[in-house]
Amino acid sequence: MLMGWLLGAIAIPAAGGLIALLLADRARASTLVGAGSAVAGSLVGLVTVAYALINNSDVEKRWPWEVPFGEFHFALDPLSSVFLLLVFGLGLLGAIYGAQYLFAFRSTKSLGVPWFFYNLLLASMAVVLIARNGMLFLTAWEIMAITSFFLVGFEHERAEVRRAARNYLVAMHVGTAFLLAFFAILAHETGTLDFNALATFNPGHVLASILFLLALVGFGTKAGLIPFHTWLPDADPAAPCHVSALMSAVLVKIGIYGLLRSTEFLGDPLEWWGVLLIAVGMTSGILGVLFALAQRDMKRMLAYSTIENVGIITMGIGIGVWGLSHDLSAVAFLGFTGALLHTVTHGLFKGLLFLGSGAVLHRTRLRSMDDLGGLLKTMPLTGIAFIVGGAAIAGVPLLSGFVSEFTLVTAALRSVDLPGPKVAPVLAIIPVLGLVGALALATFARAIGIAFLGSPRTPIAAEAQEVGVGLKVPMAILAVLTIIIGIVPVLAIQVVVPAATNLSGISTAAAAIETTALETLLWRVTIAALAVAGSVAVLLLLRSALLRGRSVRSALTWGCAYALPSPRMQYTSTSFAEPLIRLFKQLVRPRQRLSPPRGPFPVRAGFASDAPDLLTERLIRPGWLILLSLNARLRWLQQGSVNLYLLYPVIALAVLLVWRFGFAR
Amino acid sequence: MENLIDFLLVLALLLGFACLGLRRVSQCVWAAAAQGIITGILLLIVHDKVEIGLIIVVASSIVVKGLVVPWYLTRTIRTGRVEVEVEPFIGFNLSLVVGGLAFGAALWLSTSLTLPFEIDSELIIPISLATAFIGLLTIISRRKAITQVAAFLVLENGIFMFGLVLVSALPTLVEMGVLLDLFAAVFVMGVTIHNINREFDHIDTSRLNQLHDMLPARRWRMPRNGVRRSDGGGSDRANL
Repeated sequence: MLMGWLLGAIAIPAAGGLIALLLADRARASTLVGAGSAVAGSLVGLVTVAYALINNSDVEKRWPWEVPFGEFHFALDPLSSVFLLLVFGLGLLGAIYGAQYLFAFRSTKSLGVPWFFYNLLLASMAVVLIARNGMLFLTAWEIMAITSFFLVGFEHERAEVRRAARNYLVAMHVGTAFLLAFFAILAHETGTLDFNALATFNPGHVLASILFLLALVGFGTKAGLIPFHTWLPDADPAAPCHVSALMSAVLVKIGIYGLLRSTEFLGDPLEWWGVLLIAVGMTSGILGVLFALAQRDMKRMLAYSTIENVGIITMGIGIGVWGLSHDLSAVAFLGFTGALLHTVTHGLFKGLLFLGSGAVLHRTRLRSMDDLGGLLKTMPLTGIAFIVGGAAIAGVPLLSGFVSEFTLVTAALRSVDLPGPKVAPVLAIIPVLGLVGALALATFARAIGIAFLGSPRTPIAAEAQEVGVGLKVPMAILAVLTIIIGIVPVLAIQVVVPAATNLSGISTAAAAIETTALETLLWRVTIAALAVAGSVAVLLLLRSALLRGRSVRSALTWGCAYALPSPRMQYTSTSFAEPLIRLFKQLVRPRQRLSPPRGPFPVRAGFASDAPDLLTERLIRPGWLILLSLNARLRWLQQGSVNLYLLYPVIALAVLLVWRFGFAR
Repeated sequence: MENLIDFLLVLALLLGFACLGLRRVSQCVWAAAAQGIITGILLLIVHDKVEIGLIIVVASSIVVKGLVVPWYLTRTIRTGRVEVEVEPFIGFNLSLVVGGLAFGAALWLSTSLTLPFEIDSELIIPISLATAFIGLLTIISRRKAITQVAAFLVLENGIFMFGLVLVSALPTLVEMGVLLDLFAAVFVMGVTIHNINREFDHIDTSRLNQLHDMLPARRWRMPRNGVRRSDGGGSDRANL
């Protein structure tokens, strides 16, 4: 019954997408059907999954499938439920938002096409999450990659979008290649791809390690972990904003889901897996936030920040796996809880931030924050939503980001249950989280300060208007959820606890004790933070009371007592970030072009700086060029002559025939 | 009965050779069409009892291969003003020699093909293989796209004749499917030829390489034939 509702929730958007595609010529009708079916399906899905979570009911259904190793084997368990909530929640809000956002393109583009792919993407993500068969999983995984590729390429008339989409497609398939190897080895060893059967499989250490590395690369590519992240900073900014939100908030998390799910097949984890996960997570966290700090394009910055947060989640998984390898189920439980919590909370506030940047883009069409400024006055709700999201992502207390990062710190501290130096990598998470949090604070203080405060730097930014209700409502919902979870973390914790219990193998009673301890701790911090916030509010009230009846003069934010201030005198995003970037220039390597003023009466002077992705520039591009040069050696085969092309298969055919029949007597 | 089957098979083979050796494009098309009609009749003869499904397959294959496709191709020949196959990659006389060798190879191959059941004529397998080879050979060695389409018909006839072996096993539906494929393929090729002809004023497929993707090669080595020539001169041989 429950599974029927869930499959219905998947089928509704898929069917609606198909109808929207048929109605492609009619913008209003296709939007109505496409977005409407996504909303309806997501609502059904949300209710179903919430019901299953509350009643603690696992369901499982099987249907035969005439494919080698294939079976339509679906199941809903707590782990799937956590991610399904994200898929349906963000899918719902993204559809509402996208309906208005895409409508602006109605004169130049057919809207049925993006709705078709959006709805299929939703459906395929949900299928990936409930699939319990390797073939089914990979099939849905592939549909997910292809539909999101088409969504990334929505504005394909722009060259950088085409390039981003192409990179995305290649990266996704490189990742899938590793997953194919992963499942092929499993199928070869066990003779089945049924997840239930694989969960009882206990490979030897060597085989398990190989499988673990394959899964890390395969799922890590989807998750955008450094060094497999190269598609993300290009693809996320290229996509329409509601798709960027869905991709950053949910799609990359499917990679996390895959990583978590695959650990079930590997028997008892080894310690170095956990350490490797922590190391990869730290690298992604630090490099991700540093590159975010160096970006001027708002969406690119958000994409790098996604890399950072996926890194944080991976650190949590690392703690969990490390804890499992030492039989410290409490540590493992807290680590997985933290990772899942951050998955949920990051889904909310990163979705919020992408929707906020989308609102700005919708009104101004300006991508660089150096062209914006002062938007808080003209777009107050968008500005407040962005500030809430930015503060949450930086881990400010009373907002959801704090809850998850705090849980991770608790988990890391709990590792001292194990005496000796082996806890060093886990404890190292605490300073790294501190550093990443501080840098994230700087990143978003910069983004908010440059884009939403100050005065407008361009006429377009000055004339920006608040967005319509279709864009406002999803942002408001996400912002409210971010605040609610920040103040009442129990809500989110209770969602992830069953999944973390299953993953860590802890007893329900012990899990309840750990959860209560965590909640108590969080509650105390929340009280303290509420006290601080309350005193600030009192001070503000006091201030306005004291100012009553006096004249208040307002001036430019970055006025600095200049006689003739101009918007160009404001801090730019680059100058704001420069002191921090200089500290880390060995890691970021910003490219700077300086043309200093010359002579007593300088005419022109300029300074420009950007931060190209280090790994793309130093590793991927040279490797790509080597591949190209190798390919060029085969050019003589591909001359463009149809006759020669036809000759090749004929030769192959002749050789085969002669080999098979000519000498087979 | 067997004599009739053998006679028609040999006729089909000779028509294949005709398509390979004839200079005029329209003659090639008609040779392929006649071969198509013969294969249709063969299917009718080979079957023991006549059913409605069989009649449909035979009738539609004769109509499509013997009438619709040649009519369509002739029209393309007229609009495209393609009369004669010029400068094939393998000369006409040499083509016939190679075709003869292909027949020899087909005979040699067929001796090692053991079949699980009796067939009506021992010639079916070598001739169907040889027809397919000849079709492939024609496709490879000719420049004009229409000749290649005709050769594709010959190739398909070869496959169709091979299907005669399996009359008892091959369901009607499959044959209809093959026929539909053929029709669609010829139709698409016709449209393509028409468009190529309109864009470039010729349908010399050996010069399609001027369209080819030069991007990676530009970095490492300019393709020798990278520049599109404006004249339709005979210097294309140098390309290959």
